[in-house]
Amino acid sequence: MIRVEHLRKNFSGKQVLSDVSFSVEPNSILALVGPNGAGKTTTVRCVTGVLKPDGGSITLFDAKFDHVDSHIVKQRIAVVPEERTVFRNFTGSDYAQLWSSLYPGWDESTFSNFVARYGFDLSQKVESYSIGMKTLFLVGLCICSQADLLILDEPTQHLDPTVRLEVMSLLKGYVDDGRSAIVCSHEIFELEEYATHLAIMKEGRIIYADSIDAAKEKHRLIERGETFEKGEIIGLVGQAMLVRTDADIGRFPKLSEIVVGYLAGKSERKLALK
Amino acid sequence: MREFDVYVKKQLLEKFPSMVFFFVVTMIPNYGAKVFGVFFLILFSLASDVRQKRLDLLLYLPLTRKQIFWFEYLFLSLLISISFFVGLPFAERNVTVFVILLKSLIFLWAYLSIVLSAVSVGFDPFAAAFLFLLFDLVMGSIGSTKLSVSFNPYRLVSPLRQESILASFIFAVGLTCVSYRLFTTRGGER
Repeated sequence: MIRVEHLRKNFSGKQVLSDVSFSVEPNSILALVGPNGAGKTTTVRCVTGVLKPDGGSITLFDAKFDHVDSHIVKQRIAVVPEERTVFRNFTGSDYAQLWSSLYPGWDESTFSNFVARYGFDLSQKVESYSIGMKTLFLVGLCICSQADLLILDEPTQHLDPTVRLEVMSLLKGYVDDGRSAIVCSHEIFELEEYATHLAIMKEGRIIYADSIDAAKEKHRLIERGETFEKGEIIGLVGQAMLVRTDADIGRFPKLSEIVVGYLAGKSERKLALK
Repeated sequence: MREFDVYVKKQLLEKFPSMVFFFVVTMIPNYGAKVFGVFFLILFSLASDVRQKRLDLLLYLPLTRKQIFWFEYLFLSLLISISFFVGLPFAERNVTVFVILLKSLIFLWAYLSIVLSAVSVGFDPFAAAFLFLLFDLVMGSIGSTKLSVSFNPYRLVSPLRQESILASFIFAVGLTCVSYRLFTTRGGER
């Protein structure tokens, strides 16, 4: 469905993306994780046509994506951007009208149910919603757009715990129908609940990408004092060490431990050894 | 056209007070008043969206840079044409009044191109617009259009003076092409 290959982008000489490659299959949710400044938002801006990449290629729905011309393709993508900036004078109903005009698959009944379920006042300006309500409203618009690809930046940020669970469940249900989603998030514990794939970004590069199940199978967490003979050391996770191996040692890691291991990396390990 | 409707609605809802004020100004059937109104309509248009980093809001929707660029030209051209026809009953009934419309449109295309080009390469649109206005005023007032030692070809193409409407039109179209190229490839990205 989506294939990003060797994406590069720099701003005023500063390399922000140096080699970003990943793919997203139908029925899957890709979690794009990494520290602040890793390049997640820039990747999203390139994939959605907001920015023109300096190099690499983006294939969306089996067609090469051109950020200037791909207007029909963009009707199949819905985005919740990082900043919850909205049109200042748009009310909830203005937004619904705008999205329904631009997305051919707009589902009015789902939108009505969503509005009723969460008590949105559509006559109120979206700008005046609380940050949590704004996030929820934008996620709702994306879901009602029935787009084939959702790109969501921190979709559960500022939501209360029950609503978070509902949003996660909504997203899981949404991609069951052959659609897919890319989620950028720092909520690595939560992602395990609904993401199917992960791509870990660091310093403008994807340092590891796989399905979450495969990632867990391919790694082990070895506690201090345990030994291993075969495998690649990835990084430290607290007092334990994340190792990439197929040997039956240590224990299987959680998603959050894989992410921390990769992000801590070998430099952290060297520091710890010192 | 559905996308254009959305664009127009967005621009009107977001910038209603300033749009209305300068729309009324451009209704005055006088070239000077129209130029004044058009100049500020340009400043409060797409250029201010880019300046306030609000262009992304449009680009995250199923709208491309190409569409946004042409929608802006079309929207402002329509606005000026409508204001001209609304103000027409108060104008003198002769053919020169239509020349004012044409000159206003040429001024719009040239200045909008300058502002969008400037904003696309990271300059402040307001500063770019005022600097170009100053340049246009100064360059357009020196020399003459007669073939002599004081011949100044800029006076022919100057978007403000437009001593030759055809040359100014060609100049404005040229600027629009450059602006399109810059806006679609760079777009003031940060």
